[in-house]
Amino acid sequence: MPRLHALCLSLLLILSPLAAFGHAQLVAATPDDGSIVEAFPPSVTLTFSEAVAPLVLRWVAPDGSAEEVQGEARDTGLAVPAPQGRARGSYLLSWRVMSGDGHPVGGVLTLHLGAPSMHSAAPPAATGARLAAAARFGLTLAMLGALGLALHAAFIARTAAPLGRRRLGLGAALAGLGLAGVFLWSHGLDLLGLAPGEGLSAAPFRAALMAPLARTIALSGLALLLAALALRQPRPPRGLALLAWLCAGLSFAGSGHAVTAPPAALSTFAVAVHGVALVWWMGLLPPLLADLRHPEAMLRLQRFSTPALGLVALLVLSGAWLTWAQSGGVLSRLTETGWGQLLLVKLALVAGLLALAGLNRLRLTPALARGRVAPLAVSIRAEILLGLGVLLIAALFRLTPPPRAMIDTAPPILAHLHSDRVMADLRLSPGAAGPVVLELAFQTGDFSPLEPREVTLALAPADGRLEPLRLRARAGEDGIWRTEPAVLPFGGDWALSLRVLVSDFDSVTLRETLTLRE
Amino acid sequence: MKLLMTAAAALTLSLATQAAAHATFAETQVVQGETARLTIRIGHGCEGEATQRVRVQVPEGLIAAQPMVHAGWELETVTGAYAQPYEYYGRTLTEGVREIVWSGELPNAHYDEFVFRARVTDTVPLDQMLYIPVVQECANGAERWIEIPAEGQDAHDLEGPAPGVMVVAPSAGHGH
Repeated sequence: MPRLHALCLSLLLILSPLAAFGHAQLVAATPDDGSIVEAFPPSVTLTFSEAVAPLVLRWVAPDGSAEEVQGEARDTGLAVPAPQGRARGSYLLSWRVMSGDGHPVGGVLTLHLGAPSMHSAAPPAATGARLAAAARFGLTLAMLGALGLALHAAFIARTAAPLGRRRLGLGAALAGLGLAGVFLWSHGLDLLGLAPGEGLSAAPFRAALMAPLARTIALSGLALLLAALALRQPRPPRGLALLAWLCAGLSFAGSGHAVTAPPAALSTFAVAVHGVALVWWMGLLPPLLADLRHPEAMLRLQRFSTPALGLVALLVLSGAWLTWAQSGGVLSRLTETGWGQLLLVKLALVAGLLALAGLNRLRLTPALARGRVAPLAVSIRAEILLGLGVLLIAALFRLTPPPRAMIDTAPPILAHLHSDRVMADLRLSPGAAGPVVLELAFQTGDFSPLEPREVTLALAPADGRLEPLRLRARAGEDGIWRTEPAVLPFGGDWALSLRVLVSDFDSVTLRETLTLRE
Repeated sequence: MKLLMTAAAALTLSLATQAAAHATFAETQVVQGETARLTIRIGHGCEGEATQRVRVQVPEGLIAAQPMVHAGWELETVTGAYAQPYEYYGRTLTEGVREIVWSGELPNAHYDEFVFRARVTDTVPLDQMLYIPVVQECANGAERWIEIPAEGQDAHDLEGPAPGVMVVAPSAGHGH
């Protein structure tokens, strides 16, 4: 048996390519790994210890999106085209090449455009972001206009709607659909960090369609289509109007800062409720204003106001919860951040709205019954103006992240790795995609102090979309080993391989899977 | 062309399961109870830098190690106690060479071999790979071929696998 075993092994060794020692190694990169550049050169050059052939070259942008590129090998150099993205932050080049011996070799090169990615920090408000905020505002107005007219015809007037109003509603729905397209495009510009002039292609649409915002756009579009279908009929059917209303409400919960505040399910529900209530209140005010001299004005106001009472209560409740969740539970942050200041202005406007609504209900509606139209008309106009202010601020929120996103960083990931000879306590902070630092403390297997000679780490996403990112830890004065900040561009499972050099000839490799938050 | 190269790479990968290490032995096996000649092959430096020192740690069970002098290179040995006494030609050895260090210069592009011999005692398990850690030192750092695969682990999965040879029984050895 041993003879056979040895024979097989010898045969295997003979068959194996003997030249297989000598894989290519990355010798240099221009720009250098970890460098900060103000603009990307047309291509990044990797220089290897021998000639290589590119296999897979992939850029990962600060937002985690990946882009495959074709490199050009010249002797021992490999020219890789720079990434398309122009958003500031850290870009990772995952490279996999084949050495002359046919053996694939891979690694990751990190370049920072402008500055390293900051965890959840606000990107500077670019033109794309401002355009998207404007489109969001326009889309909301168009949606409220179309939905308001449909709801009014179906639930308030309950008679054949005048052709003029139906046409107005159809026009609003059409404009809304156009604005939804602009919103999608400008969000794509914002994602890719492009100026409007550079984004006249399908790329921004493609980028935005991959984002959660696509849900908002789809639901808004559906709401507008349903409202348009309802308004095409002289007596808009209640079912269609109701469905359109629901879609419009849900569209606000499709994406955005607010729906991600933990617990996300509750926050999403709160935003949807907020949206449903908002559509009823703000959508119906203009048609009601036009109704004030109608013979049925009192009846119509009643039909509006009975559900409105409950809806406004829900609006206030959901708004209060969202304010609490978004401030991260610390209300003093409201005055300290741009987001908080915007929210305070919004709350002041809402307080004005509520005061006017109360006044209308308790004083001015009874006055209308006595034939005094003017005071209620003035008050409703003021209410509409305040409402526009509130919607404008809601659209501006996208330009400032809530304090939660800036302060509430993910809790660190703690792990204990051990073999019979080496134990390591690891702390990865913050425990989310983005720039992270790893800290390590070592002991021997029997809890004695251990001072490793070297500590190296390799981190690779479990799904293999990135080559292993190699890091080196250095010992601090306090005996804790730390890595330089490294950018891990996506959440999910990462396979960590920790190599601890105990003595010159003795190393121990510990492995662990770390799960990062998005 | 790229497809062809990728296919070639995949094919090579599937074949090159054993010999993919960077520092390897020219020999594939040693015979238990006999003196073995071992040749370390160094095919490149550290990330393009020239190799300045080649160090070998003589593992427990290999005794009476003797390095071969290498023209143009300085040679040192580090002696130390063995974990247990060994009988060697009627003498009892309790210590011997535990580390061999060759110092010189080997440019990245060149190839060289470093030789030593040692008695493979019968404490070294039969029909198993014997891994011998090698460290290559350069001006910019070191390449360490010191990782020993755990049970059931493929040496190919290691970043710096120690070179190894199979230990065979005397009857299975060649050249007798």
